[in-house]
Formats: sequence, structure tokens, C-alpha cells
Amino acid sequence: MARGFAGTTLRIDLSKGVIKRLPTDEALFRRWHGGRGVVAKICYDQVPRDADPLGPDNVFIINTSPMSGCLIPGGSKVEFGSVSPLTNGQGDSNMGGHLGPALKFAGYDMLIFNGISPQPVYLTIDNDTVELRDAAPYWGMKSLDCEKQMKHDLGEDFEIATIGPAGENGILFSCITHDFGRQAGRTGQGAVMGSKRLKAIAIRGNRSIQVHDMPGLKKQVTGIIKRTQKHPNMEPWQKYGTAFFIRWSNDNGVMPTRNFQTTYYEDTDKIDGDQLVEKCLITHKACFGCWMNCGKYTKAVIPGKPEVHLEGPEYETGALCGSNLGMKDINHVAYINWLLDNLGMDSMSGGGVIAFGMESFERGLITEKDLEGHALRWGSLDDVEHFLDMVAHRRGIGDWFAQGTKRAAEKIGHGSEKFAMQVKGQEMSGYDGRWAPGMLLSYMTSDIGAHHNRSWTITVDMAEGRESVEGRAKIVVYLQHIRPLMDTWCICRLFWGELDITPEEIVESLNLITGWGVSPEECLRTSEMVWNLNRCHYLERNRANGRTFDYPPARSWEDKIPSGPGKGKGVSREQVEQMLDEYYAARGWDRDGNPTREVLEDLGLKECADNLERIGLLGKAIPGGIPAVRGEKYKPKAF
Amino acid sequence: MALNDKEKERYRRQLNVPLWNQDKLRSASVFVAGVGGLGGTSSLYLALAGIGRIRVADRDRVDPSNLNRQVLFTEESLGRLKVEEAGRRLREANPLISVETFAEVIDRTSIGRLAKGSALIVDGLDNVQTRFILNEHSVKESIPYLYGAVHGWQGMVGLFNPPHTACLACLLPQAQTPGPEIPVFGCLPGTIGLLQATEAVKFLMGVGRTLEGRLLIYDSRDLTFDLVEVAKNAACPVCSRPQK
Amino acid sequence: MVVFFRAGSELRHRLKPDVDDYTRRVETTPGKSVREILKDLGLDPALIAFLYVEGKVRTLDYVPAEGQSITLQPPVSGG
Repeated sequence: MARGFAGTTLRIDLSKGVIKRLPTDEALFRRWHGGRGVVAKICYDQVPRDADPLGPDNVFIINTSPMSGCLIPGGSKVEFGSVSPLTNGQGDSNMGGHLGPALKFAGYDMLIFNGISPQPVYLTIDNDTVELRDAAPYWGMKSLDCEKQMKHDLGEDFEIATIGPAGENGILFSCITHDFGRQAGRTGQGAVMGSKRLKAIAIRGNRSIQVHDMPGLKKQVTGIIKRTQKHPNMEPWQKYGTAFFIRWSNDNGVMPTRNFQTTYYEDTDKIDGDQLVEKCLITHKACFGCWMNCGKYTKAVIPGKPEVHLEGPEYETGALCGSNLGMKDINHVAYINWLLDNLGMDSMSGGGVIAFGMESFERGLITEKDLEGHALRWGSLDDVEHFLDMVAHRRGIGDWFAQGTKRAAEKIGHGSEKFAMQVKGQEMSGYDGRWAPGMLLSYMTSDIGAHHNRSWTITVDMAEGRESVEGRAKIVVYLQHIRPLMDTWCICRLFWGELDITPEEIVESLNLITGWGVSPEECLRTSEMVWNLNRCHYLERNRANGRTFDYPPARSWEDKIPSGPGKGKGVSREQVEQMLDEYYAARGWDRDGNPTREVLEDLGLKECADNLERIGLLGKAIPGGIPAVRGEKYKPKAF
Repeated sequence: MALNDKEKERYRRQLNVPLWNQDKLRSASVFVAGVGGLGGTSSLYLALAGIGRIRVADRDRVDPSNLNRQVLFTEESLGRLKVEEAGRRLREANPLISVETFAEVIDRTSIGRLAKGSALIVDGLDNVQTRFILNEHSVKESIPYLYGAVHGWQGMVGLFNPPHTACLACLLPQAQTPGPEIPVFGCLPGTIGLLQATEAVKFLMGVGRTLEGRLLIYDSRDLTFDLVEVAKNAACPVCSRPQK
Repeated sequence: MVVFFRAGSELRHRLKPDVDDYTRRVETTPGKSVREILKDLGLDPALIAFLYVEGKVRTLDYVPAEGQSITLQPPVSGG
């Protein structure tokens, strides 16, 4: 077995209750590296194109990489993947904490679940002992409560990931929670887990992992630690975590405010990082192998409500459940964060869904009658609490919102699609793209809908011109390769990105651990392979030209920003079309947004080209050929 | 329904084979597509086993070059319709069963009618294009397809049972160019046809572990038998098409 | 790294077996797919109907591991 691997993969058939131990397919990892890459390949190969993502034929994968657990800085991430019920394409989501390393220490690289358990179950892994157990005592429990109970029942040293009632009830943006506040939030992985009646995973392990060059790795990592401890970014990150960016976003006119109506929030000073630290902070929290401790364990103290404890709100939740909902008190934002975490819903999509509900209510498209006699007003915590209860249990119109803003807008009609702030069914991250065209393009073209983690370009837009789209496409392509590499390697991007650690250094760590001897260019190529594979998978499932799915919500290109530093700014329709044309050309895809045979075969994906051709969606050959290198290298700014 | 005296006498030796269920065979109906080398062998042994209704379809007439391997035909058969000869021969082999014959092309317009009411489609074809037609029908109607094929020293047999297992299109690329005349000697279609008949009998009686989702690959030159699993192709154009 | 290609009888004369009557030892680099290795050997993938490794049918994009034996099956369609 190559170095870095634990050596065993578990294949769990939940329909039959059978657990198979298999040697980890090292060749698969060698080609796809791990994490998101391997997950993408397995989903493409094993999930039938007509499979219901909430049905027995979807797989649910928990994956690590050869670097996980090797005391690599930020090497905490665990990757979840399946076909997403929210986007109907390849979906993956990761989280920090300690679960991934625990899995490696227990002796496993990857877990692949298929089928549906006849009864609710949870999986326990205690080194060699792997069992599916009856989850009846836990089914119906909220996420944080469930983890607490399980730690009590099994042992404090178990690392546990759970779904909440939302995942059990098939809310399409359900998340998976771990370590009392880390989530794998996006793409509805919690819904897939719930559809399989898998309530939780509990892991404990104490084995060693062998690496290729231990002295070399120790030397490299020690050097990085020493160097980064003095980095100027360390202190604000340690103090605020990503909440630091609340004020930054607002000052720069990208703050999502009242369902992205505008980009400057007048009450930001009531919900920013200083407020978080001053009013809510209990202690800092760190993930495995990280001392940036960006996690903030906090309390929400609200008269008339029980005091609750949670991890957060970090930037995204702080914005999407803060300014985006018109909240005027950091405790309220924290409380909403806690509601979403405990019910088991992605706080990003959750914020987006609530905001969409609030705007619909403001416009009279939904009324108190629809909301069981309650309102849904900007800034009202009680309204939010009741609304989320309806959504989590799918009562009345809660069922519409449980499916995300895209499907809710289809049900509500009256032109509400315009302000359903989503792409491909997934709600937008906490930055408005009207005055940051690269960011808008990133949302439009991300493989999982309007999510920022694949490509984040606010600082690129600022450097290159916020009202121009010049050169943006090629940079987005490059970022869509380099950033998701971190998800392939299961390393936290924040730690590496914010402290000026170079891609070359990370690749060096990979080689010191595995002995693979890969170059940064090969790694970028692997990431490009994954990107194209996911695109093909999306087209094969959704059966239309790629361009059809790559447009932003109409608000993003019809409404100019009405207030704040970005007043009057906005991306035009022509600019949107231009960005798409340039993006596809930069990728070696045709003008319909379909990958061409030339680029797919160059990446060793002939099978994908054949599959697309068979369904009439193979990109037409580009006169003059595809670019030899796709994406323009740009020093990526993190976050 | 109890066996009559004639049946009891004819089938006496097989009735004591463990787990045998003659009634299930008698109530079964199978469709054998092609009665050449493969189909001639499998249909003969299915008839001997007592499958209640055997339908055979083949558009060809008997040719001298068939006689090295197509066991239902003799010199007397030359020039006659294969299905007529086969029908006569199968009825002689077992007058207690029903044999239906169709001298027609198997294509997308006829397959529904030819395979109607059959619990199993048995492959006796000599080209891959028509096999894809059987496969499409198998997927569409969820009728198991007992695949068999030979070439020179090699032969293979498998049981595709969509949607539970892969279908033929999961295994083979759709684009296949028709080849030149395929070299074949009698022992191979004989072996494979017999393996098919055995699998059919097991499947119809619900006995033992069949080749569902698997392929047995026989190389008579080296005397190797490889048993391989065929996984569903998630992008199969036949059995994994998204519903719209 | 080393892998072994094994050919069903109709294909073996093209494979040029060197280990026994039907197996050829192939030196290649990790991470290459069967399709890419065949291209390096000058063998046309169109000659292969399917392949199998350790009892499982795989596609030409399968990436073999060190020491694996890959059986290449030529088209068999007679009857």
C-alpha cells in the first residue's frame, strides 16, 4: 500500500445491512488524488443517470485523502459526496473538525454507502469493529442534542457526525453536523444521508499511518509552522475567524442585504466580528492540525429564550442570516445559526430560503394564512423560528421552501424566480456579484450552483476593475482548478490560503507523504479532470446544453444596486453573455457550454465524450482548436 | 397440476435431482431467438427438460455450412426453413411440450410479438445488432435475457436481468461494425448452448445461483473458465436513461 | 510499475505474449488508464470488446494498480 493510506475501504449496503472490507483502490486515488476527486469518479461510474438522488441507487461517500491525519497543517477535512438532490448533479461538501483523521486512524480511507436501510441505523467504527446499529433511540433528535447523547452513550472520544430532523425529513438543503458545530452544509448531503435512514457515524481509532519520507515531512511542516506563526494574518483570524469579513464585505459593497436587494447594510455594526467577540464568544475552537482556531464557540442570549450554545456565526452565516434577513442583533443571528445547525439545515441555503420567504411575504405573495397565522418579516427572530419549524417538518408551504428557493419560486410564481437567489438549485453564498463580475461568473459556472468555494474573486475584481469583465473568465477557470484541489486533498483552504503558503509547498507535502512525485501542473490537471467529469455528469443527468443552466437569477443582471458604495452599479446582460462565451472558450467547451471531444480526450475522459455524443450533447469542435492550457494563473486570494 | 403418467415416465430420472420442480418447467414459456448453433442446442435440451412452451424464430434456410454445428439439421434439411425443421425435430424429441415456430426477422417491430408471454429470452443469434434488439426489449419489459455468443475457440454466457442487473449495453459499446464470417466449430456453440439451457432450467425453477449479473467466459484452447461480474453502467443509454 | 495483459484467444497474436501463451508483461507508469497503456503499446482499443480485472468487468478508462492482470476480451458475437 502506498504511503499515507490506511489501506481499507468499507462498502456498506444499507438495504441488506452488509459491510464489506475492501483494499483501498490505490490506483483510483493515484489518478483522482482523493477527497472530492475520487468521490466524483465513483458517482459518475456507479450512480445510474436516472437514479433518484434520494433513492437506493444513489451512493453516499465519506472520503479522505492520503494526506488526512498526517499532521499536515489544516489536514482536518472530510469530504462527503453523492448525487445532490438539490442540484441534480454531482454534489460534494466537506467540513473540518476531527472526523476525517479519526477515520484514517481507525484504519479506513473511505466509506461508500448504497441502498436504503429498512430501519434507521447508525454506523460505529471502533478500529476493527464496524457495526450498523439500531438508531431508533436517536431518530428524530436534533443534531447537536444527538451528538451530545451519543457521546454520552458511546464515549467522549468518539468523533460523531449526525443529521437532524431536516435530513430525516428530506429537506433538500440538509446538512451533516460534527463536533458541535462544524457542518458539511452544501448540496444537501444531509438529505441523502437521511434518505438512506443513516442517522449518524461514530468513529474512534488509534492506529498509525506510514508516510514516505518522515524526516523530510517533519522538516517541511516545522518550517511552515515557524514561518506562519509570525504572519500578520494569524492574529485577526485567531481572534475573529471569518467573521472578520462582515465589516469588510459591507465597506466594499458586496454585503447581501435583505435577500440581495442591496449590497450595503446600515446595521452591520450590530452583527459584525467585534459584536460576535464582545457579546457571544465563549471560546475559540480549532480543527485537527490547525492552530488558526477560526472556530468561535458562542452563546446566544436572548430574553425569553433559552441560552443556546453553538459554533458560529462565521462569515457566511453571519451575512446570509444577518444582513440578508435584516437582523439587528448578533445574538439573534447566532440563535438562527443554532436553529439551523440543530435542525440540521445548511445555514447558507437556510439564510437564502428564509430571505426569499421574507421578500415573498413583503410582496404579499405569501401571507399569514399560509404561515399558520405568523408573519415573516425582516429582522424578526420569532418569525424566523416559526418559519424554520414549518420548513423542517414540511408543514403547509414549508414543504415548498424545504426544496430550496428554485422550486419554491416555481410554486409561488408571480415572477418570484427573479429574486430566488440561486443557480442550478443551490442558494448563493454571502457576496453579491453585481459589483464583482468575476464573482457572478463564479456563481454561474460553479459545478454545484451559486457557491463561492470553487472560485472566489472579490479581490480579483477589485484589482482588475469591478465594472469590467475583462480577463475575468480565464482567472475563474484557474481558480476553479486550484481551489478545489484543497477539497481533493482534504486540507483546509483557509489555513493554507491566508498565510502565503504556496501551491508548490502543498504538493511537496503530498509527495513527502505518498512518494508519488507529482508536479503542481499534474495536480492542476487532475483538478481540471474532476471539473470536466462533473460537467459531463451534470449534462448527462439534466439532458440539455450546459449554457441553459449557467445563468444567474434575473436580479443579478436586471437590478442595479440601489444603495451604499455600489449604488448604481450592476452587471449587464451583455456582460453576462460575454463572460460565458469567454469562459467556455477558455475551457475548451463550445458556445453551448458543452465540453468538446478535444478537451475531454486531452484529459483522458474519452468515455465521457462518448457518453455525451450518444445523447447529442458533445460540444462541437472549436475552429482553431482548444487552448493548450486552460485557465490563466493568478495568485489566488483565499477565503 | 400433477404430472400425468407419460410425464412421470419421461422425466423419471430428473425428478429426483435435488430441488427439481417439473411443474415450474411445464408452466414456463421461453423464446429462443435463432435456431442455429447456439439456439439449436439450447432449444433441444430445453425441450428434453420439458419446458412447457418453446417459441423459436429464425428467418434462414438450412445451408451446407450449417451442418458442422447445427444439431437440429441433417442433409435432408438442406434448403428448408430452419424453424420448420427445428419445430419438427423438437416435437419429435418431446411430444409432450408445445413448440411454436416463426420464420421471420427479429427486429424492433416483431420482437414484442415474438417474445410475448415469455419468462426468458434465450440468445441463439449470430450478430450483435440483433442482440441489442433483444436487450432493449429485455430492459423495456423486464424480461431476463440469457446471452450467449461464440467465436473460434471462445464462448461466453451470461444472464442479464434488468433492472436488477446490468444489461448487455452496459457491457458492450453500442457502435459495432458487422464482422466477416465468424469462424466456429460445433463444440463451442454446443457447450455454450448447453450452459444456456442449464441456466434457463435453474432460473425457471428458482434453483441454485445463476449467472445473473455475471458472465462465464470459456476459452477452450487454454481450457480456462473465467467468471466475471458485470456492473451496471451508470451512463448506459439503454437501462439508465433519465426520465423526463 | 508492472502490469500484465492477458488476451482472449483471438487477440493474443497481436498482444505478443511473453510470460506464457497468453500473457504479456508491461512496464508503465502509475495513474495511466488501460486505454493510455494500449496506446503506448500501439494496440488499437477498437480490437477490445471489454476487459476484466480480478473478476470484474471494467472500462478502457480503468486505471490499473501495480501487478494487476488485465484480461482483454475481443468481440465474440457468433452463434
